Amino acid sequence: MKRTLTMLFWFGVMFAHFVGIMALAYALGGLVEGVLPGGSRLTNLAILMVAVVMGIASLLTVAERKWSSLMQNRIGPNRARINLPILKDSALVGIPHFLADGMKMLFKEDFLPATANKLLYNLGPMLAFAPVFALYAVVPSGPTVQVFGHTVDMVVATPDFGLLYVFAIASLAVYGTSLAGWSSNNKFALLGGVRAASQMISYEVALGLSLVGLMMAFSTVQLPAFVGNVTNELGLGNAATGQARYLWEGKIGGFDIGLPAWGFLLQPLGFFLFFAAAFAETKRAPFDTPEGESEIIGYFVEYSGMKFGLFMISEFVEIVVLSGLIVVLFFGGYHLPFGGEWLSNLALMREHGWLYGTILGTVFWAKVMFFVWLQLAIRWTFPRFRYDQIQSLGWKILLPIGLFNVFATGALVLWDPSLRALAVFGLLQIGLLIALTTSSALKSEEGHGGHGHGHDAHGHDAHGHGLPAHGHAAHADTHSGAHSGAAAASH
Amino acid sequence: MNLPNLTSADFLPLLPAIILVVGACILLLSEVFLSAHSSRGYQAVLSTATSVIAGAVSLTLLTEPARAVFLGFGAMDPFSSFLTFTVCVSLALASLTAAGFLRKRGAERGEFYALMLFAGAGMSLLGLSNELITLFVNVEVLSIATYALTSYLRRGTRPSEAGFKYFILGAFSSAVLLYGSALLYGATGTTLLSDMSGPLRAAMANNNGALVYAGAVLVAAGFSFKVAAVPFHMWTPDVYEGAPTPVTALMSAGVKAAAFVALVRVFISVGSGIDAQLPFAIFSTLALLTMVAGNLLAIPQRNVKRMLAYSSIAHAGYLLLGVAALFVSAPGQEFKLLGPTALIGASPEDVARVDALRGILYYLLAYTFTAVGAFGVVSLLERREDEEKGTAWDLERFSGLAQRRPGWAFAMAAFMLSLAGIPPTIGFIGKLILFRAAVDAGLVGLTIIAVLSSAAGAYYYLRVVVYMYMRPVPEGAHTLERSWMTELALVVSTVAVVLLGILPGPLTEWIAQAGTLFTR
Amino acid sequence: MNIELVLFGAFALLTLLSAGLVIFAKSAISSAMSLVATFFFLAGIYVLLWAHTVAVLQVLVYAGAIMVLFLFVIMLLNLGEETSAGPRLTLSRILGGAAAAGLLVVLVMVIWRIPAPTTTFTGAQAVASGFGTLPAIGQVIYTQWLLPFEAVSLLLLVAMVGAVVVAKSRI
Repeated sequence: MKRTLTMLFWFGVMFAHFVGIMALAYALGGLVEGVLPGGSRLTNLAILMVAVVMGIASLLTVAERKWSSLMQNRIGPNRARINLPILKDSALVGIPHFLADGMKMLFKEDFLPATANKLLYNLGPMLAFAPVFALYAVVPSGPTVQVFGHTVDMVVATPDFGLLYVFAIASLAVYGTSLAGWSSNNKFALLGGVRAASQMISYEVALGLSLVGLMMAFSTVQLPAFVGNVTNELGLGNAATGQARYLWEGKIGGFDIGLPAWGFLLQPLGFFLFFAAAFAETKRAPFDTPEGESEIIGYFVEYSGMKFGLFMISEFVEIVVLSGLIVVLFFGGYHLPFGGEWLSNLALMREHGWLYGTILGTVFWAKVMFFVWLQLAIRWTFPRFRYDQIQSLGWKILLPIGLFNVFATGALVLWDPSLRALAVFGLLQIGLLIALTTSSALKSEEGHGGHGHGHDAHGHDAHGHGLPAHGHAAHADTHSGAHSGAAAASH
Repeated sequence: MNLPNLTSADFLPLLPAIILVVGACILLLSEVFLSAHSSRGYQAVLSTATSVIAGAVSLTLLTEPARAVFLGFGAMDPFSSFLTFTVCVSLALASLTAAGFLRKRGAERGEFYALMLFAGAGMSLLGLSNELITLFVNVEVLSIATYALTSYLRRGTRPSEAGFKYFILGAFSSAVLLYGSALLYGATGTTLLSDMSGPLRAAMANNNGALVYAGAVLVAAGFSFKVAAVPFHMWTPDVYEGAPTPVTALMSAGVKAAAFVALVRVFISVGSGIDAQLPFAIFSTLALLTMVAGNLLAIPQRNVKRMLAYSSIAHAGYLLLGVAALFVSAPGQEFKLLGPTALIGASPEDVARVDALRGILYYLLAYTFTAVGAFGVVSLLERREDEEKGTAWDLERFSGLAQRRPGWAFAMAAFMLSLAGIPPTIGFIGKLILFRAAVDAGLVGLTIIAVLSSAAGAYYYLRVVVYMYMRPVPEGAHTLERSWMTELALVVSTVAVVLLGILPGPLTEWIAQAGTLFTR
Repeated sequence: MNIELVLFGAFALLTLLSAGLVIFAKSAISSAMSLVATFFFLAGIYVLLWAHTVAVLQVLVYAGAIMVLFLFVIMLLNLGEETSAGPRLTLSRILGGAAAAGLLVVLVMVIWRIPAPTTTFTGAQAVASGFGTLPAIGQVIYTQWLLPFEAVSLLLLVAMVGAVVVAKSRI
């Protein structure tokens, strides 16, 4: 009971922050726009990217450790405390740890291996961090509304090539890791760098292919157009577009309800492909062979201090950015699944655009937080893939499925431009997936029950493959933990 | 936005290339279902059948009127259709040759035939490209396919060297070609060849001629690599020797034919905008060097495959003579395009020019039958074990062939006579038409040199015949394996070489149609 | 002197500089990274030409895909620094250098003699609306430039099959 209350309390704190930040972002945007037209993009940059994304990413360093300890029945980090009288020496569920980590990183020796290529060694962390961070620029985090008489939108940049920007910038992230691995002049680092390069090249193909179906369905590549707007949004009288429109719609009183044209319903296959491929691009378990914490430590083995910190933080930034992209592309962006039209036409919302923006912005961040949590859960649930399994998953499974998805989607969109046929197909896919998952889970339970030799072929399929010899205990150390050990050994 | 409409008529000239690509894809996909030990005899048959169908289709396209397709990006004319026919002939014969060649080495794979068909599709598309970018892309299609084919069998050092050399020099020549095209585009502001003459004239008038000249020279240099003209021929002997023999056959016939056709198309358009003097100077020089050097270098060769490589250079020289004849123009007279015009009432220069064009096409087909057949005999005689030693293609191999395999010897003799240009063979008719056109155009001196050098060429061609018929069988000669597919190729080529040498009638009728090419 | 000219000058200079580094860098990795930089600066020049999509594709395809593969191969082979015994002057090198220099002189002269354009446009007035955007490029590619586009797709297929054939273990 106490635990539930604590959790609810911290959830409340989190959402209060999101509400506050989004309100601030809209208000500031409106103010700046009055002084300098187009200036709201700058405030968006400062607030969305520097404050929110970086803030979430730094807190994730703690959240990841907390979540892993929860899954492993440990308490997790609780030693760093801020000794203020009002806090009564509380651990604050470990949150101060990210400050402690930051300080540790900043004050550690900036170690440069004697035989390293100095320029590239220093360039590595920057090239790993910058592209990941820059990705968020095209993710719309809230609707376009009028604040203080000025139009404010919650996105940093809206290039007309939208998704191509995402692909282009994401594909650059590999330079950081491979250069870091190469320039350290360390065999383990080189191994990590080579693994990272091959893995990221392989999955970029599936990554690009997985979104083609979505582009066809919405016939756009611009991210704000994927999100779209509800019917008659804020009384502007426009028709619903993008994922905000309904495939089948009904009304209960003034409240609209129906099946929204979310990317996930139209393209479940595309979603799973994208998620798997993007997850591989983040190089987190189960795709963490480039790091291989228990064997080669990874491309950053020689890095210390804040340079290592950049690698680490870029991984967490990637989590946030990936969640943002998934929400925008597949889960309706900042829109509610239903009731959006009703909400946007309340008199209060029409009068106070910033309120509407703040609410939807909070919806967006709530969705983002769900996917952030999902990624943490996946990272601590799955055993690591072997290197060859990663390659064959990318080339032999994801790529053909992606191609199939492109053709199937193309045919269905051509046949029925209202996308309903596509939605039916998508629902069928989801149903099939659920059925398959349940049946294989049931089978493997049978396989394990009763008889000693119950390890049949199916049981093997579900469990036997890819379980690495080392257990989770080896993973329990966080990056910084594993790294400080390695760094200490190398000093 | 106002978008142009493309109709099925635009796709008609692509039909042979599409058939070839479909055949190649079937070969590739069928390979997926085969294990390493499956029987692959069907592949050569499929490849040959595809080429024959595509060739038949291209013959039906010969009667289509010349016109622009794809908004001028492609030219549908008898000229390109005839090239496609020539390419399909070389593909079919090379596929049949490859059947025996690859089976002997246990190296049959669908990819080999698929790459050959892809190369053929590239050649066919190159023939109809009427735009610089399309042209370059198709040059690359056929080049990359042949690079891969050259290094298909990497057993020993020679094939690796050949593959690497061909790739590096080919890539270099493509870059030169591309650079030249870029300069031409810079000077004219268009990549469409049919739109080029006006802007070229304007550029010349605008004191911008240097750009045009530089572009034209670089494009000519790029093509010279592909057709193996002296002094851009250095790669030819090594690559022809190291490549699998059927691939060598395809390179010497198909690739060369496509490159010549593209070269003629580019320079007819460029030459109409600038003084025809420049292309004339380039090609007459190249022709002179190539004829003389190719023949002289072939004489000391005792390695028959290498000798055929040099002979292929020499034949490129004769063809360049025909190209040069296209650009002879009386001083002060404007260079005319070879449009789809009737020749009734045309000036003697125009008649000579069209004759030269027909001569080039005839010669290309004649050389295709002859060279592919000759390489077919070479592939029957060679053994994989001797390749490293370099004795696989030695002249000694041909000693007494007339006693052991009279059929092969007869075929080889026919090919050698045809290459030397001795009647009654197709090679004689080809040379006759080509040289007569050159003389009509006024290139008497060059033609005399061509005749003299081909007389010198007769020496090394006839030497092979002498070895086959007048030398005894050497002791310990290994047995000669037969292959009915390769022998079928030999029969077809021999019949064509002899029959068309005696009765050139039907072919000249086709050629008469093919002598026009679309210009505007 | 407008801002476009300044930017063009900067990008052009940086392109040339990094292109020079590609040739003169000692280690293969440095060469490859200089090439990446060259592509970026070229992308900048494309942006100045209002070819935004081409610029992004330049980054996506060349910097993001092709050069990564280059880098991967270099790292896999673990190429060290170039260990030649210093420059040696052979006849072929002298001739090759002379030919290259001659070609350079000719090209410079040719480009020098190009007359200045009579009309100049800058900025938005130079391009039609929608120029360089993805829809415009898509429409042109699938209609007017269909033939070369399809030829390129054939080229890629051939290159893929060819690469597999060449890389396959011995047949």
